Amino acid sequence: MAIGADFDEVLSGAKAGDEVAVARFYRDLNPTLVRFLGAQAAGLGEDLAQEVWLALARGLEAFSGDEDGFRAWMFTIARRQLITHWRKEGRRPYRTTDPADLGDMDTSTSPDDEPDARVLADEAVQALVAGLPREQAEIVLLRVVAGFDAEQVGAIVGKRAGTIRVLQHRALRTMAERLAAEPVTK
Amino acid sequence: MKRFGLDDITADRLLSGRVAPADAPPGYGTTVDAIQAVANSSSATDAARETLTVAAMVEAVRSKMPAHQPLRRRSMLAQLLSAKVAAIAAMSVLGATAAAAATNTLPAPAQTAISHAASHVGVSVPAPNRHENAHATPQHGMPDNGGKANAGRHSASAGDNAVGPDATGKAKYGLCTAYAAGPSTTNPHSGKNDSVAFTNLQKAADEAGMSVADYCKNAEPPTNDGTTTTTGSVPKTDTTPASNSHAATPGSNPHGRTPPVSTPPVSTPPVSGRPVSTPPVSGPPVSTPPVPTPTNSHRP
Repeated sequence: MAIGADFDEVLSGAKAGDEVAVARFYRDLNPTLVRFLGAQAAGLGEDLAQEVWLALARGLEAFSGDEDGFRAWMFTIARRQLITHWRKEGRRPYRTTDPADLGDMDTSTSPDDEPDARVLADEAVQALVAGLPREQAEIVLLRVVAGFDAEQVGAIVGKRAGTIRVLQHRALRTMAERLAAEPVTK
Repeated sequence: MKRFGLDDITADRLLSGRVAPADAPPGYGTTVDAIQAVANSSSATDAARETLTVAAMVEAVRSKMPAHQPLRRRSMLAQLLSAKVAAIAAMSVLGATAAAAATNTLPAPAQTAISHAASHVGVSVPAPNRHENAHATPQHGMPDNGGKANAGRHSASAGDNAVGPDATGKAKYGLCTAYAAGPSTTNPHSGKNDSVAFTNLQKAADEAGMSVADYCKNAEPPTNDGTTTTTGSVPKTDTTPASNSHAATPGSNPHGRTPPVSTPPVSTPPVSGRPVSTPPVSGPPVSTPPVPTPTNSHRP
């Protein structure tokens, strides 16, 4: 979902502190943001997303650009937030979730003991990038979850588009090898 | 299953979810499934967290808005203007007060206070004429009608009820000193030269066939010998600094010119003895957001 033609108006409203405009940004982008963050910091997607939104709000006045630029800016903040989180934790994982741990993920957090949509979405993202080196997982997430192209991903992570393409090739090959061995849980 | 190498376009299409599982390159079917699973998943929004986060964002945005700055600038400007207005008003009042005090036309309490205060800074300002001396002869330098001297100041005429100090008597020195001070620097319209006292001084000079300046050359400070206990209309010379005494004593003026203007401080001590200060602006600057702010009922 995108804001589209209303983007400029919504942006102006958000810059002026209009709660409705701010909420529209949040509803449009937060699910994607939470998935991107949760895939790299299991169980912390919501909390980290909240910090990203606050950082974005503090810098909103200085932002100028279109909707793609806004989303790229938000994921740049999210990426920095992750790095800060890892620095606080004292470790920066080389790989995302170990594929062997995927079956142990708790999916019974809803009151009815039925996995809700959020948990299933998190699980699907975790399954996609499980076992990938962090650098490749980040590129896959930015491409698949956030929907950026190679050039945009390169701008966010500070690499050339050619480098991004090389890394995404490697990631696809690794994913294909692993997923071919185990069926994808839908 | 054997996997084929992917070209950039195919890789881009795979990652952007534009390849159906059935159309997936050999070996990438499950990968396409996994990508589609992520693309098709939907996350429910946590309403409580959304409310909190949006409220915090709105707060952060509003706290960063520069809307306060122009208002703050206006507030500072208003403060400066207030200070200037207060200063101008104070100077006007002080200037008028100084002129009135120099001509002994203030109400007695104010005249007493100013005379006493001015004596400490070396300025001769006549003390008020007490009521019991109202019947004294004009030769003693007192108005014969007491407080009516004030009316003469406003009438700007010596021919009315006001009599004013006797410029040929003890008041001569004080009048000459006030005359030498020149017009009020802060309030040229104070009417100082039209006062009864200065009219008397001018009249005395005319009767002596001299200009006021020449008439004042031989003005001597009266002595406090106790024979004339006129309680205060006599300027005190013992507190007059050397520079002022030089200026106000024609006999010591080697050039024989009109006594130089001994500039009494314009800032005659205020009657109340308290400095004039700009009242502080109370309260924080009023700020108005530039846009209509929605009601924020969800704010924690």
